[in-house]
Amino acid sequence: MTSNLTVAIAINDVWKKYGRVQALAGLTLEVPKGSLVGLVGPNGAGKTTLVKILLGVTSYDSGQVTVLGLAPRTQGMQIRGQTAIVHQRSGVDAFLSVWDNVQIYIRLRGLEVAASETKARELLRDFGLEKVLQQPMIMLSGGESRKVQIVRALLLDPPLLVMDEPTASVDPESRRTLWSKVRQLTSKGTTVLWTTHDLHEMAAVGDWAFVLKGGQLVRGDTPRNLARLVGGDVIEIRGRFSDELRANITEIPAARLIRHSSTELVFESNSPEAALPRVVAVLHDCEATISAISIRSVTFEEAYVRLVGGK
Amino acid sequence: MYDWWGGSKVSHLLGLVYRELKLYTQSPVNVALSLATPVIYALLLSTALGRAVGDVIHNGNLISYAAFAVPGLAVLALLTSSMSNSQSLFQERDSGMLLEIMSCPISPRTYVLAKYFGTMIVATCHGLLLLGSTTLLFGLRWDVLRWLAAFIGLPLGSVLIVSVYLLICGLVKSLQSFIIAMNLLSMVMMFASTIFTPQDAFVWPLNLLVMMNPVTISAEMMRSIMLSPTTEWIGALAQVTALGTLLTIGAVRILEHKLKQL
Repeated sequence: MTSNLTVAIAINDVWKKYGRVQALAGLTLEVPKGSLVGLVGPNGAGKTTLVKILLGVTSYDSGQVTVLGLAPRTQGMQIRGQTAIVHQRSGVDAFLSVWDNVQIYIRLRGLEVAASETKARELLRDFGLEKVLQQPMIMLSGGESRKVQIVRALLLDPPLLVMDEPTASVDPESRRTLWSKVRQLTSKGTTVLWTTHDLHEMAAVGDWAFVLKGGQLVRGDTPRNLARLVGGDVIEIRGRFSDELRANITEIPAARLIRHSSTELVFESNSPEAALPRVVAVLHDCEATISAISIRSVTFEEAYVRLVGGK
Repeated sequence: MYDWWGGSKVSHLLGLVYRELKLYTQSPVNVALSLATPVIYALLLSTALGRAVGDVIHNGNLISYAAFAVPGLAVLALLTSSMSNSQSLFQERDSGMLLEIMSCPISPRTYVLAKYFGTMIVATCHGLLLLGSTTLLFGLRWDVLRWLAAFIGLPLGSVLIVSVYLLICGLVKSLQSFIIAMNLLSMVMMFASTIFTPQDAFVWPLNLLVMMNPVTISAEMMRSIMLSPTTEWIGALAQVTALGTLLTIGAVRILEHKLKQL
């Protein structure tokens, strides 16, 4: 176990059940302080449950959890006082204006009103929301509403920032703004935990990635290491391929077909040098036309799919 | 400064009350309608029932039906405000707003107490407006001391009544169940009470239910304040305070437990 000084979140053998649903099943992981950590996993993997447990708004059945050195069960208030959060579900008052929602949040967090309002105006401008300040939230698009939640969370300079799918339906420009702000926070020592389904985004910005499935940790490492650990390379072949070809290429030794269409064949292989001549020979026998061949490493997204057992 | 409402700061409680009032005042049309509704209700009921019932004997004195009904109708305003405010708890849970609030350094107890304060403020405004408008309408006269006492009695009555609804919030699981329970209970609380009819008019065993009904207890308190000697209404205020405190403790305990499992 790593030292408490370097660990922001420590979860050890945590179990949680909602009625008959086992949300967490012996989850164990550690989040280093000052890092940007992604939680990924299929729907129902236990990501949102974990976020709620960390904040102390939901209890757990057994195990040990510490957040910033505090126990969520008994010190939830102190944890929440040091944590900013963007929830997955829209936690806004739909019939109030954007500005009203921001003002309410400032008061609910007990922030200094004048200074926070000034900061809020700057953030709202950075996220392109200055023109909708007086509009009711219900009139905003899903992405705009999400950005209001992000702005509220960024009003704080917290030791811990938790974001549950923050960039869902947010435009690319605002995503970049968010990640730049988040990087500013991590450089000041803030730990950022975010859940996402956007694996390209995680590979690009995450320091660490934890892959969850069925309430358990499948693997946790840097996105690059995860791809390496899963191993293998990808052979991509472009050309013209008939439907009859498929039966012949699914049983090539050392190459597993993972994607195919009439213009593209994608194989996964642990020894592409050995597999490629066999693949080409089969295609030649079937009189397929090949226009391009490339070999590359497995991406984080492909590694993730293999880790969670998808196709 | 952390204090007795569960570890939150005073500023957090004020923030929640600020939110409750923002929600209430967000639309001027809604405010006007919510204020006008009990007044229209009062007018219709007082004129219709007043003609049917005529004068009423209260504490041995013959008084007009309007003088009898107006204090009770102020409690009706408390009832309607309490219904909508307690319902918002489920709406906030289902919209995700409750999780957002509870993710701030705010205790469940502070959240529930803010619901009480929000209801007290809105319900008292409604009750006073209803008292004022119907007093003018029916040409009634109350002295200043009675108005001041009403200003104390209305929030106390609202605490008692909203406690009943918040208790139900704590006992049922979904908004749908709450609405069914609330509609049923509201009908009973409204009509098995002395809002419109003197207690003598109810037969046994209905009069037992009427007697125990928090709406009757609140209505009788308001009637004492507006119509009876000081000595009597101080006792009525104490009774409502005691019962309101008991129910508040119960509702807060149950809801606190519920809000710890979002």
